[in-house]
Amino acid sequence: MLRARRVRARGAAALVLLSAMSAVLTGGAGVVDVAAAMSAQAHADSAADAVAHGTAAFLLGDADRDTLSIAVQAGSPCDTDEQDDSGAGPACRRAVAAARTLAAANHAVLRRLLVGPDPRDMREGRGAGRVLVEAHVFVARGMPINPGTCPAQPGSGSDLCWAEAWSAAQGAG
Amino acid sequence: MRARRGRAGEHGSQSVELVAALPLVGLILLLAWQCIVLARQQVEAQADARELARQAVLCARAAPQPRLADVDAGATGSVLSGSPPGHADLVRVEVRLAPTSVLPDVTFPTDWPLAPHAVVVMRREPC
Repeated sequence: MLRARRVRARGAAALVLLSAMSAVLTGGAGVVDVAAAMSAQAHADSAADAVAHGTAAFLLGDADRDTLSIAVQAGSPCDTDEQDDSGAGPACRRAVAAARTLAAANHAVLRRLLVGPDPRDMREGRGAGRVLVEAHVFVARGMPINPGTCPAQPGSGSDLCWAEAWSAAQGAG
Repeated sequence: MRARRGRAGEHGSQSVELVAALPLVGLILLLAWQCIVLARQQVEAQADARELARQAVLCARAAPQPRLADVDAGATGSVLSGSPPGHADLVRVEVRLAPTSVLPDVTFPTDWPLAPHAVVVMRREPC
């Protein structure tokens, strides 16, 4: 009877210890994961800002900027999600290339770039005006647990693997 | 008599186990707290780098180069800024903060691989 009680006590102690260690390990993994998520989100926000502002700054110095401005005011898309953006002219392609370069320099992946007309200049007879740049980027989150399951590119597999951010820039004036 | 001694011995061993496990649990909790502190510093480094880069690309060439203390008064660390090779139109700002330690008698060097560190690359705005 005494032996049975001792075995029961040992079993209960082992169960408590196992539960406590599991809680500590789960909590530790959770803390590391939250830390990775926080830093990846901050990184993604910075990268989106850098891409949006950088592309807007690039377009300020582009020779075909007025053509692009008139084209997007007329409804021709300059959007990486569109199949055909040739109507927006060569400045659009250069803007996308500049955005991709900036995203790569910030260790991010460009998901979407959209160059549209600035609503402040959408008036009858205004002609070429300022443009609005919207950038959508992804940054790898660096999953601490089982990172091998993450896809190499965003947009497929678990969204937990990538932090995403969006930013926009308008021409000054 | 023997049964009572056996039960007392069992209680004693459980107390010893508890005393041995408590520092371990405390250490694990401190490590988790350290992780949170480093994550907050990482976010701080990212925000500092973004702000410094944003100021560096503005068309104000006569203005002095912004320092870390100007954008984050309480931060200690180093800032490296310049252009990436072959890209004079870009500005690269790298911020490395001195990691704060919550572990007793433990200090981390600034070049520690897990030290808060952020890099932001932005394009110079035309003048």
